[in-house]
Amino acid sequence: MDYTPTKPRQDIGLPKRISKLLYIYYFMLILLFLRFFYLQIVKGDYYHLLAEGNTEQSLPLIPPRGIIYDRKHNILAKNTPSYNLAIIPAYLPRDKKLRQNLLNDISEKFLIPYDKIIKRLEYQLTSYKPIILRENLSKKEIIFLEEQEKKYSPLKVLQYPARVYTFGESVAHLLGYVGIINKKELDENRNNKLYRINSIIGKTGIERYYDVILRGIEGSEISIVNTFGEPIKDLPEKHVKPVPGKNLVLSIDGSIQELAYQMIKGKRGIILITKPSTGEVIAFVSSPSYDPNLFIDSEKVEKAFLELSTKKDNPFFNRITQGKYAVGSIFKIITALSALEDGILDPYEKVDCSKGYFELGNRVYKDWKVHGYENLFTALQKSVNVYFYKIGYKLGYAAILDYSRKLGLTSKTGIDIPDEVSSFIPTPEWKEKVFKEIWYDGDTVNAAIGQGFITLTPLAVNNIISFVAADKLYKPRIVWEIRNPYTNAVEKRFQPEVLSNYQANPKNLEYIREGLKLVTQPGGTASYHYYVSKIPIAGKTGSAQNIEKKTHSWFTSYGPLDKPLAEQYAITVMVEASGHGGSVAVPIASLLYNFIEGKMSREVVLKEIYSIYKYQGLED
Amino acid sequence: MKNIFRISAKIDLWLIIIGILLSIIGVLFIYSSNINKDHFKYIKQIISLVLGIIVYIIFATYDYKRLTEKWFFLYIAGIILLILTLIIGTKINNSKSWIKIAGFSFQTSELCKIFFIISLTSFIDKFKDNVKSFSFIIVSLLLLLPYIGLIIFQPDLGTVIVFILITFIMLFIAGIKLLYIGTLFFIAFIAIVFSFTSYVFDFYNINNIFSNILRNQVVLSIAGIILIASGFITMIIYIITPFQSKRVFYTYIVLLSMGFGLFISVPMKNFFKDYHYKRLIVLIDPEIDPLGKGYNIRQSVISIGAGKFLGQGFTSGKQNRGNFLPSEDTDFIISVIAEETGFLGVSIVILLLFFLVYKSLHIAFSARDFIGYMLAGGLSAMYISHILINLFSATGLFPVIGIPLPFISYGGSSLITNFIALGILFNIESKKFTYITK
Repeated sequence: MDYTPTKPRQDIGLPKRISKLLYIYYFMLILLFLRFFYLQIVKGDYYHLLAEGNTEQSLPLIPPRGIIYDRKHNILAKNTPSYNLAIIPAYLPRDKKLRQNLLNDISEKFLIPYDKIIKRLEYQLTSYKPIILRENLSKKEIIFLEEQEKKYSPLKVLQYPARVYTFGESVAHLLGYVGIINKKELDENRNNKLYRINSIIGKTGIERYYDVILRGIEGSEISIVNTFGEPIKDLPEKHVKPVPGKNLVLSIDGSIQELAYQMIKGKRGIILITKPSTGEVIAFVSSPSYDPNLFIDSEKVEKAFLELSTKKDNPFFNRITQGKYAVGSIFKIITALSALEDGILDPYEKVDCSKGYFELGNRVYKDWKVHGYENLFTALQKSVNVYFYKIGYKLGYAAILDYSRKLGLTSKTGIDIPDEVSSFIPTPEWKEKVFKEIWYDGDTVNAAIGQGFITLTPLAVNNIISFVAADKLYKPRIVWEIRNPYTNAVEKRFQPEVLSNYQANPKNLEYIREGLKLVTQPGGTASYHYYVSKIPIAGKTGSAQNIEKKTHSWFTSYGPLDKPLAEQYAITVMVEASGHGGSVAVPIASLLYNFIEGKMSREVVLKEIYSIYKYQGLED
Repeated sequence: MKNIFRISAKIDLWLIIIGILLSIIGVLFIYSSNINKDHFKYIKQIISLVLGIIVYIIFATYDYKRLTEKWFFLYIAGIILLILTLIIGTKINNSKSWIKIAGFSFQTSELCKIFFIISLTSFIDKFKDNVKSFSFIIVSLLLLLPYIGLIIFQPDLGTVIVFILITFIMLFIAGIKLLYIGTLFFIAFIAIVFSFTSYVFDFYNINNIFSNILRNQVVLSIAGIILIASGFITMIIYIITPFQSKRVFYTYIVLLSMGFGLFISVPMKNFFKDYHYKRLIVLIDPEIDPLGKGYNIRQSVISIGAGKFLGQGFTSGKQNRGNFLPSEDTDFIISVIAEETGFLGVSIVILLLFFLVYKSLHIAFSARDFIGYMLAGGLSAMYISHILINLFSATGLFPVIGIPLPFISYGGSSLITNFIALGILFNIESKKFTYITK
């Protein structure tokens, strides 16, 4: 090829630029060749395998879930290896007769109904994917299988970590349980790489609230499998190690938690113990409960769940965070506090309560008993309705609403348990909207003693007494430390969080404390305490009317009063439809103070409480 | 008659032979990739090939000088065509790039590439005395602006990138100062890097002091302004000092371009859409979205690799038959060829494609006049940008932006445009010994 012009060309182009461009193109060409060479020759076999109808299969490696400890480092939740029996159908004999014989043998030796095996194997006889036949193999069975490996070659033992709750039923509402992720949970976590179909996820309680921390990060074992799912090449360079979940340390005291549950087992109610000085939750019991260990065995889950959720007293209902109750006289603390803080109440002034009722317009508001001339202290002590009708009427509802807000009664407490509901303090606007009726003074008077529309969660009630004890409102918190799974070193320590900046006048709070202390003295509504325990405490009873025959029995308290605040506890007890606050809730709380302070053993406490139930006619 | 015979003796027919050869390879693998889908696609491609040869003959005999004289008319016609496309065009694959006439869809931006190359050629020819000035580049880019502006509305980012590449290659061979091109690329590079990294931080949820500074738009803007300001100060120092040191000169150029790059990166980040960035991210991390944006690249790479040295045989590609590959007769046709004919087949195809580019550059080199030089250079730029983007995308080295492989990929508009360019190249070559005697 000769392009040289016959006549000299005008000097037009830029040959230098053209050759520069060509060098760039040559470079690109070489780059492309290298790339194709790498893909087709160097990695050719690998990609050929992939294309050969083969796919990479990733087997998840599930990390151990974080361990949950109580405040004394006793284990509340741990993992235990569980062994499942699986079968690989493709390894079964081709001959029908031989196959049936072997399956029959398996059915006998491992106690699995023959029909069940057949049903599981249906349409999958050529599959290399292991199919689980039974869960929870015993050690004996595993040894037996190892010995007879040749005979049972299609069988395989698959290990997976199962969750064990050492305190069983008593921690169910606190810790929750784990289970296979459902569609709703999957949708909620669509953008989260930690979750996939068939993931194990915390369903309620701490297990759910701290799921992301507890679960760790799954690893994977990647191999190439052919169209039948038979692994043909392992790819160890692509394996990803799982990252174990982190451990949690709770403020819960396992022994107190367990005893508290035993005390109200069989009843409907709650026991909540916290430290007013920090918001630490010491015991968190809601009854009836369920055994979270039941859910280890996924086969039983469906059955158990159906059985439990249709029970009359739904054991899945967490009464502490989701129950909204009328609290009765306990609300008098709020009324008293509002009146004192607004400066309209002289605590020493005696008020005439001798009529036994309070008249407003043409309506009469009754007391539960005729009293005499009472001041704030005796009114709290004896829970005198007329006294609080009068000061409530004088105070007006706006102040009650205001102080309720300041104590966080109109919002959630923010405890680290999922699905908490908010307490409810009605507003005049709400009443107008719902009942098409204005807020009457009568409503104010009723609210002053906790009647009417007010409903509080046990958490909110406990917050009221904690505020009285500490003059500061802390957010209740259960988990206080996150620890490294390998070294158990503390990675994060939570600090007490203040829920409301409100602080009351110390003098006013002292008046209320004085009154609440008298409650537990002879003549008070919780005088029972005086006869059971020498520990000085202060508290308030409540007997809330409801649709059932008997009132809900409430007692919220704090103590021991002779110890510094940091060593004081707040105990709130509520037993549904069991009678007056003084008769059921007070003894439970008193005995718990005895146990916590080491004055009574677990056995004595239980003996005492059962005899009280017997006396009250509250036996199951 | 005698005249024609004389011409054909002087020129060689390599280009058209390669063009037709590549088209036949294209038809074969369009057949192969649609074997269990649309059987008529390869027939449509054969019809386009026949049409292509006809337009080739027309343009091969039409004097390119007369073509370039009509540059202004063609330039306006291109713009009108693109506006029409936006108004009456039909949407295919989410881009409004097609006009339907009598049942045939035509991708107007393909033809507009030729229009634009002719226009830019004539423009450069008219002002070739000023080629070393900076304003020359600016005006050239202003000429480009309406085209890419209209195409980006379709939206078709791939074609926009092709237009930009063609323009820069043409400016390069026109002889503009390398410093200018370098500076512009440096600015674009800085802007892309910063907008992309801040997206990557968002995407992977990286939160530390370093990432928070780099993605903070205010910080970036301020840094840009500071760099521009210090650049200007250095520039003034450079101008006022009697001895104009090279070192100071480059310092101010680098400072200014870094400043402008940072400054542009802020609006740029918001301009590009999520899926643009995702296509970039999957290059680095194809596993993030194995069934979405990463899927194409992954399947394409598997297909190519599976071909090994000799391939799995025509119409026997497992990936191809299994329809794992998306757009396997356009964007990823090289993957089908690679799977079925192996490294050997791919090498032949790539060499043919590069030979085509080499030949067209040679035509530019030996052209009769500057217009012929520029025109042939522009057309070769069109080929090479398609070839490189397509092959680099299919092998997972460049984001997939949907650019066909010349002559091979399915698509009548693209094939006919490529044959027009071939015809013009032939014409330029055939005239190389013809001189205008004044």
